[in-house]
Amino acid sequence: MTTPRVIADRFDVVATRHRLRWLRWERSRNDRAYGEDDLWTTAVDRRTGDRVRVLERLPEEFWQWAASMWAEAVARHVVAAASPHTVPILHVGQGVVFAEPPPAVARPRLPPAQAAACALAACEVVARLHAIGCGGEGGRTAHGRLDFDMPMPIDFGRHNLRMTQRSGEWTIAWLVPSHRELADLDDAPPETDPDALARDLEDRIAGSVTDEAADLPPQYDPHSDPIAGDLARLAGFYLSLAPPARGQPAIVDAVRRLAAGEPVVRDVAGLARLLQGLAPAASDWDARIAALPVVDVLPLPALDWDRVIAAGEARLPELVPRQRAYVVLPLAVAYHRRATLRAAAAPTDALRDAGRAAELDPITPYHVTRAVLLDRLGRRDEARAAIALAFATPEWTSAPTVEVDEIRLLNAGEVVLGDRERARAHATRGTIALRDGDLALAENDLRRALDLDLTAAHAHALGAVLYAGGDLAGAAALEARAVELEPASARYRWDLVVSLHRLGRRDEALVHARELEALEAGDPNGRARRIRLLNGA
Amino acid sequence: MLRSSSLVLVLFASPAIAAADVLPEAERPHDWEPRDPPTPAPPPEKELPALALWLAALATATFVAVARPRLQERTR
Repeated sequence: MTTPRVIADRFDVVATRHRLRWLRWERSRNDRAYGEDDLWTTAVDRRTGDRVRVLERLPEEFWQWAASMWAEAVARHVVAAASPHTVPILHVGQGVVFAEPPPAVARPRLPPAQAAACALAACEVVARLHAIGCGGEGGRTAHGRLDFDMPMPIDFGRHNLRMTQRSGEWTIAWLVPSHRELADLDDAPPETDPDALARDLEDRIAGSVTDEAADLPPQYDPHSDPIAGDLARLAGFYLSLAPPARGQPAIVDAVRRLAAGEPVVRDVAGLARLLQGLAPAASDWDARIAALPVVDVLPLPALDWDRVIAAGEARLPELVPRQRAYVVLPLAVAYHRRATLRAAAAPTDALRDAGRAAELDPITPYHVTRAVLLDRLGRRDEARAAIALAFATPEWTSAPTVEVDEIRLLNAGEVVLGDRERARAHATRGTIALRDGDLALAENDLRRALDLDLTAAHAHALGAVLYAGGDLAGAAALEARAVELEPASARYRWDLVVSLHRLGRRDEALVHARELEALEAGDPNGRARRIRLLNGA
Repeated sequence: MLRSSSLVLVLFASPAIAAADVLPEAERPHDWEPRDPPTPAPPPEKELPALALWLAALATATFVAVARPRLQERTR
């Protein structure tokens, strides 16, 4: 007899979920069928006595720690959004506690206007998820493989995106974050609607429903853009409620092409506007569409890094060595992300984070960030040591492999450095060398940085090295390049003016000086510089 | 004897083995990485040579001398 488990002093666990693998084994071996209840941890809310469902990772699923952090972040977003289209969440933390959702029924067949209303509700949920960087079917790792650690927590199947009737109208009740394993049950014929297949067959015989391959949502394509993928799945959801019949308006054809993967619209708001054409009588659509965030490029996932770091540090002592990497690697990434966010405002705190990241996972990017922050804080000796560590670790430009018994295996533990990251390492070492007065090393590194990643900052820094070495013409050429790449930067333009002035190219200096004056108009700190520029004029 | 006991062990453990996960390798969540990690601060700003600064000061003085009477005219 195990001790009864309570979640958050409120939910008494009645049954802990089974693992899908175990259930499949039981079915094939012992002929024991399984259903939705087997896949949920169920509990009772002490406050209301209602049954609740808990989406949680079992302790042995330590390898999905990063995914559970992401799912919890999405759950907190859902709680804050309090959308009527998602199943209410009662608690987040070591799992997500959902209020009892409506049963997963088969997709009803609806008239286009009603189907469009349901699809609009789904659009509202997805658009807000896109705004926090949640979208698509799954990420890819730096190696280009599917990212097992970060499955995207939205599923469009009938067990997650449920249909329910409220006061006679069909509406959606979406489980977000989704319970991905429920997708396993999607293909099984629904018990609640045994006539669905017969009705579908009748419709097809009567010819009111077309039967084309294009009606189906596209197969999973990991290379597809996440937003395009979600648009296709949303369009597929509309079509599952209102299958295209013959002689329907052109909008339905556009929706069908979208479901087949054609880029008809670029964002969810665009799809909502398209669907509006199918529900012309609905009055509140304009306001609802106007409120949708327009996201055509998925931003980075927004997590509460303080919370992720606290959870990770609390989890570490429980793990045995072979389990540690599954928490240590994402935890170090979280520290690095927080260090980046704090770098400008609180460099000392950021340095502590970068230090912990490098301690947990000593890879080049973390050492470089440490060196950058130490340099910014004026701790030059430590910065030099940190950047030396960055160059001491091997540099991989493509996924490294190891041979085991003549089989080539990908060595995922190594970090693959892109050109931008390598350029950042060289630029950091070069800048530190410039401050140390080692012009030869500085020039070498900054040239390499510029070759790898042509940015204004790299051109400008290399210009400064040449200027310090007395090569004014070379410096002016690079500074001109920096100005070309970032015309709005007063700093780059000023340095170009000084070089041109010293070269005696007064006319060119004057042109840039006037531009600079325009850039700094109204800037009190720019005044002194403008006074000096009068000389240039 | 040894063979039969290992057979018993395998049969006993088979459901657990079947249900065990084949773990993917631990990886860094690529999407969590910052897109713009901190970059080195730019080199110190350039100063004009001393002679040029003198000329600048002179020019400022002229500018102020010319600008003042104009400002007074405006206030009247």
